[in-house]
Amino acid sequence: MKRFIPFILFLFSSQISFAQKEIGAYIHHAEIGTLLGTSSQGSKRINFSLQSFHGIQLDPYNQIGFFVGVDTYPDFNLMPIGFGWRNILFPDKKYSFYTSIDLGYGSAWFQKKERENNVETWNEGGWMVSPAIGLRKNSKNGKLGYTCAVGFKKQYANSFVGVPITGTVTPVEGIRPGYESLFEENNIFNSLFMRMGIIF
Amino acid sequence: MKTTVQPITKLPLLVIALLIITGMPACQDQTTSTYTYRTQYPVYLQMSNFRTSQAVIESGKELENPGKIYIYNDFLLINEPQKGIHILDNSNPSNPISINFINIPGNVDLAVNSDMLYADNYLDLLVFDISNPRNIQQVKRVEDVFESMYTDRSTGTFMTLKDTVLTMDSDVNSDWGMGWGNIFWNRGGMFAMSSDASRGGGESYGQGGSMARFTLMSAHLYAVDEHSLRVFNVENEENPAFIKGIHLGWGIETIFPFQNKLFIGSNTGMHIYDASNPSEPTQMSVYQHVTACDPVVVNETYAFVTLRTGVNCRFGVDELQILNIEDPYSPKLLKSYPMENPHGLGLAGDYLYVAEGKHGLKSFNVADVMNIDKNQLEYLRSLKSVDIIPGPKSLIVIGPDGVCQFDYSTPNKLVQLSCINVKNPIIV
Repeated sequence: MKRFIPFILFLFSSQISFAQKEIGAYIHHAEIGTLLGTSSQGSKRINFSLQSFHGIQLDPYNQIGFFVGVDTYPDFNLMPIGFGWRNILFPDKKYSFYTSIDLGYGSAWFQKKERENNVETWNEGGWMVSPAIGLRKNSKNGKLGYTCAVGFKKQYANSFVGVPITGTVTPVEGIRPGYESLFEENNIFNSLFMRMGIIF
Repeated sequence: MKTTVQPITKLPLLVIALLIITGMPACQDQTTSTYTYRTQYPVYLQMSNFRTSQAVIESGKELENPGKIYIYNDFLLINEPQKGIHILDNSNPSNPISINFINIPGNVDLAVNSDMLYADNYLDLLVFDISNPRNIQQVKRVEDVFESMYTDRSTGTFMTLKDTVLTMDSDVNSDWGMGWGNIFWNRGGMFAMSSDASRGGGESYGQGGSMARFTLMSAHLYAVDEHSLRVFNVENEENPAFIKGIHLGWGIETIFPFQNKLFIGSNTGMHIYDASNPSEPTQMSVYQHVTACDPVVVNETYAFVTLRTGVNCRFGVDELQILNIEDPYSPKLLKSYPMENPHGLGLAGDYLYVAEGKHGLKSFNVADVMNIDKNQLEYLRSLKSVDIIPGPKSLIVIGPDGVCQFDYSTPNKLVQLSCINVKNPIIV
């Protein structure tokens, strides 16, 4: 029976069967790529994206874990961090499609608040969601894999220019406490991405 | 035969659906922007609307945003700017109890003289009998005391300013939006400080148009509005009698009495008035280097003044200045000490307490005024504070989060007794 299934799969796929990660095994998936989009004014943008997924093999088809990355957008450098799920369609073949969903928060923590002439400028990140379809090539021993993926990434991010209150004042509802005035820009970056990666 | 090939989960379908949904906006970014700012707008009111009924005494309620604090026997009277006065039983400073609240629209200041509480109600001055603080009676309304507030005397219309937040929405791009960033509004609010340690007067955060301030000395009530000093005889406590008005110039903001002298803070300087004849105060000097942001405390020889940086504070320095006022006709600056961001201050004998805003609270021994920096006793960095009142039972520290009381019987070691939290903390 144990030999029957690979045989069936072999017949079905006419490929040589490949080893796969054991259930519970640690998976590291590192990816690098570009984010392609159009700004709200209509100009094209190409941005850089880096992501590192750390997860475990849940069952032969599914991997779950968390990811951390770096995405650049116009005026924003964000560090997305969150939860990821990979579903491999044919885990024991040399080439297999897979789908993935990453859900998380893009943090702007490494962009510092700037202050000049009593005007503060800063960025805040926001939620992100990123579904993708990819193709993976497994190595014979199942330890190494190469991937290529395309997908969408929706990233919320806000930028602020504020004049802080000097002196002692009564707070009023409707404005962030501590600010006299605040200019807030809410961005939703919709990007198509292409990424190359390596699984080990 | 049992198949071991697992049905592929529905995840791929979900992913593909998500790809379509999130991909639908064709990868174009969406940008919206809002510009929000604090400002004040004028509200026109009819004084006649407030004269038809007596002030309502309500049961004790939570402090929202305390203004001036006044110590009266075992009671604390705490102004809620523009709203009224809280009465708290402070017989045990470790557990002050809110008794009642006098609802007085437009109220920003108060003073007590022989069981009579004087409180402003926009243009009028109200007199309450508080001999029993649990059963307060309004006994008198003196009309048109702060008549400079009138915008139209014939119709009884006056104007007050209300804090508000305005928001402009747009879906413009950032280049256009940034232009708005330059139109930063300067809050019209003004600051009023008065911190007379010996009498237990406190600081008040004037926000509206009404900037009436008053104080009591020698059976006379001295009230300042924006440009004049108005003198009332209150020898008959229930019935203040207007004597005269003295023009002072614009931007008058604080008044405090000390030994038959009135120290009046304005935008342009500190006026010192001789009130040894209480009904005829006369100007002794104007010290030009002190402006409105500058709380002052005084003893026989010295005035302790704090200057700080802030919106309405012009000098851009944070320091404690010591003035010699032995000759009130010509105050002399003796020494300046650098500070963090000094707000109010309180003087109790040889001990000076300085509220350093968000930086905390400092205490000094000021017996030697030329070496105050060498005689710092405590620096409580975690105790954010804006004003300090050394009371008979406790040191009252007003901070952004509430009103706290400390045992200061050992001057170099403050011991916290209680804290009354406020609903709407101010921002320092």
